[in-house]
Amino acid sequence: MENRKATTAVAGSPSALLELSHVGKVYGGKGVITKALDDVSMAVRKGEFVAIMGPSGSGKSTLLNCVATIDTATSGTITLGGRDVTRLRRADLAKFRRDELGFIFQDSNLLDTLTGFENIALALTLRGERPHKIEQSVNELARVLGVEEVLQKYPEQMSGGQRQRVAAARAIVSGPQLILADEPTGALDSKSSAVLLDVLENMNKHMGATILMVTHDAFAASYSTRTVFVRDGRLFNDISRGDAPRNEYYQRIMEVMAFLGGDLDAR
Amino acid sequence: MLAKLAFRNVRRAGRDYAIYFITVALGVALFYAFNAVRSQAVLFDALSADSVRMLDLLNMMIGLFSVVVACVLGFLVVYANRFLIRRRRREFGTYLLLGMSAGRVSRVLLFETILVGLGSLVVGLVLGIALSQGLSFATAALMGTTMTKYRFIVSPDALGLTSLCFVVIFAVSAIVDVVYIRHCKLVTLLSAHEGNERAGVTRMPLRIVGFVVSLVLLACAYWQLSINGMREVDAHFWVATALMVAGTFTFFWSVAGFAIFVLTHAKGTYLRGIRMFTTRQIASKVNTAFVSMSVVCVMLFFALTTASVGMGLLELFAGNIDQTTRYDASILAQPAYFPDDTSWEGESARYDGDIAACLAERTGKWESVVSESAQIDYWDSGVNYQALLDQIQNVEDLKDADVLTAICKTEIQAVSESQYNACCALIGEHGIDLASDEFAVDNTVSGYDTLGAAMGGKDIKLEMAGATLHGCGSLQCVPLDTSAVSDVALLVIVPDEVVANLRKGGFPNYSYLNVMYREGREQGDVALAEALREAAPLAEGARTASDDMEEQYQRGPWPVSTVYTGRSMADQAGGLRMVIAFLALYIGFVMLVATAAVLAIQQLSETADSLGRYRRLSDLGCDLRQISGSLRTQTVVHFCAPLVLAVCHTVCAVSVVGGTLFSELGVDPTGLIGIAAGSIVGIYAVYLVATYLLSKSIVRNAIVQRRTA
Repeated sequence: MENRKATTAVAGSPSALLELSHVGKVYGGKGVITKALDDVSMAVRKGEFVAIMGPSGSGKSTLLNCVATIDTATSGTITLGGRDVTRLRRADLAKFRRDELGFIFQDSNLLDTLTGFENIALALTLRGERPHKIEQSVNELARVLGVEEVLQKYPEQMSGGQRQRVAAARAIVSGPQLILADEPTGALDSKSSAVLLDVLENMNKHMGATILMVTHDAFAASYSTRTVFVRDGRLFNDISRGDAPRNEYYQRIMEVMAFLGGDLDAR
Repeated sequence: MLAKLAFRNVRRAGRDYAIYFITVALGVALFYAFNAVRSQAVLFDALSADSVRMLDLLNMMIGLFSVVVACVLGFLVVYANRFLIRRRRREFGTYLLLGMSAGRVSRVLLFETILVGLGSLVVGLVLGIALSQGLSFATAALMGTTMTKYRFIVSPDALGLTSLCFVVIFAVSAIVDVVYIRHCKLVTLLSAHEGNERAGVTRMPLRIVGFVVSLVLLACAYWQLSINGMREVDAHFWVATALMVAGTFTFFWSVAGFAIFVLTHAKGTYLRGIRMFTTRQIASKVNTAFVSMSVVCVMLFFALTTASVGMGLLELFAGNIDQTTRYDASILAQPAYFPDDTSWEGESARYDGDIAACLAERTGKWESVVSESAQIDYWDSGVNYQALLDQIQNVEDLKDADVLTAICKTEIQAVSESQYNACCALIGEHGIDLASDEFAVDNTVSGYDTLGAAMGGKDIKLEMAGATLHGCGSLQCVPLDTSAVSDVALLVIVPDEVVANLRKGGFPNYSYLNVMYREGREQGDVALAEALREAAPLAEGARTASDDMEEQYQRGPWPVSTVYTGRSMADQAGGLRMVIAFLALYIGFVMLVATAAVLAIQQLSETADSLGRYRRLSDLGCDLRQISGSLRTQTVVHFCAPLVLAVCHTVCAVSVVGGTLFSELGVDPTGLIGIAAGSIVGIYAVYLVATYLLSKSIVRNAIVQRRTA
């Protein structure tokens, strides 16, 4: 704390949904210590679509995992909707993830034994939603996100893009406070990427979803409303899209990347 | 170096090996303990010739069934080993990739097999030696003997046999593994994904049809079996067997699809918590492993049926040995055993058929051995039971139709009132006083009590040898010889005049001379043997091979075909009980342990393959309690699905056997079958619970570990 740095965060802002303050994560012990996160402070407001960019090993995934409560920070606090998630007891973590968060991962993380419908419905059944309501909301959402035709298919029968859109549907169907996406386009070709990013943008603009996305792809980041750059476990820079058109925003992201170093594409 | 690698591998894969190890050790222990029964018998204080013969019979039977048991255990070892190897494909692929030769990898594998094999063999033998000490007390109890000077015994024969057998099994298993590694392409070893062969349930309509077909097949199988009655191996039996196997396979092939179909249409119950996941998990498991589940089901069926029928037979020889051996000895003269020999007829005529008179004249010892005797002659009456059964109203209510049909075709055996009363007097029973136009029924087989009573009813008429008789209205229950089981079934007692008429036809069908000794049974048996040695001397040149009663006299059509002594019958009954009980236990338990182990190994490796899925569930906010619940359901269903079907098969088979064999013999084995079923379910439950706890800890570790990594 004594080592306070200038950050671009809106720390302390009352409208912040997610707030990270001086978060650190240290791996190892007994001499060899790796700092994955070093005094990171930032905030995400409700309704934002924030992209986190950084080269591999920069700590961006660790950051996301700490927010997701899949990993635990070794110092600092992370609050979501006013609740300090670093102080949640282990028993409450699962409930917290179930009720407050939605996830989209690079490998889609769909359960291979369940159909598309069941994968989306799982997010609702876990929260104890009434069965007859589940069917209705899943079908409605599938229509909006264009995955109606794969509802009765198993993940292995779907294309990569379809899988990710089903995952997106699963993430949003239960109406979580925050959706976390870890390299959602990482395994997709450019066309499927664009479709998925449209879906995410749609979810953000018209369905009120707040999204925090980790990516190494400037094209993916250009769909966000704000991009945060991470390097060596620290926040490096932060640019907002504002009202700029996407290609202009994209250019600005590319500039920062060039400044950061050309190794961003290495995963 | 290789040994070190192998040792480390085994230690690391400890959990995978644990259930395999325990099961093989248990198999070794059972194998040794039962094969050592004969050797343990040296501890016993006194064994009669009959007991020794029974022990030899048991030894032979165990030896015979040990071949089956060895095959089952061999299958288990090879199966389990391949399973463990397949799970470690990637590890072996990496060794190969790093430049280790296939030969060296095989040697690592060989070391591992030897390590685990030797370990389980040694542990199993120690367990088996302990178990066999306990088993010898049980043997002693069953044979009615005692062990006053107990000492610790290790049977070298059984030790050698067990070791040899399992070394061969391990060798075969090692060869199978090595061949697998040598013939595997590196790319298949390395591309081994976790559970990549898994998929959802496909071809739904076909599976729904298949499910219905399987039920029809099984119903037909049960129907065929009930026609067959498990009395003989005829066409019905083979049809039933084929249908049962086909039905079982079709059932497991289709049941998951059918369950999914039903459940997904019951949204109210399906869309709750992680039920969808649990259901799909089980369904895809059953779908991919339907062959092994069917095999497990069939093996369980064998285990259950063997144990149940064995226990039922046990009851047969259990309670009434005191009742069936009330005469000190019974000498049977049955010319039918010697169809080519007619020389006896003159001899029999000379003594007017009186065996005692003949023996007394042939040996001076007779009088000093036997205090009293009574002979009973069984005469063919020329009338079938049909004549009596036809007069009984609603006779179908008393006995199964097929049993009645068999009885109807049988010729009535008749004995005379005076001979019957003489036998009664010998054992202190009340005789009977028949009017000249009355007959009575004597029956000691409890399953025929009601039928016997109905046959001897006052309104039942019987035409025999020119006389018209009617029932005296009371049922007699007096044994008329000494034997291992109650054997007087629906015998008809008629006035002496009627027998006198039957007698004109020649000689009786067979005769028993029941004798009581002057001394106790033990000395009496020895004295009787000596007397018979004089009365029915062995043929020229024949020599007595042992002290056995039956080695002392020459068997012939008359006066002595066989001698049954009370002591030898009691020994035989006890011995038979032991043979049956031990065989049932041996087969039943080995099968059971083997199947339970297969299920446990499958379930554990299934859990390990599904760790990714559990992590995902945890990420989505599913807590450990829910995941444990799902694991519990999965384990219970995986263990119970084959068991439930096997129990259905067994209930069908045992009730068919019960309906024919047991009820004919008048045995109610429900209690003992209950005990057998209880202990089987108990062992099964132990495996189930252990599997659940192990897989729970695997999943918990995987989820918690990642968070704290």
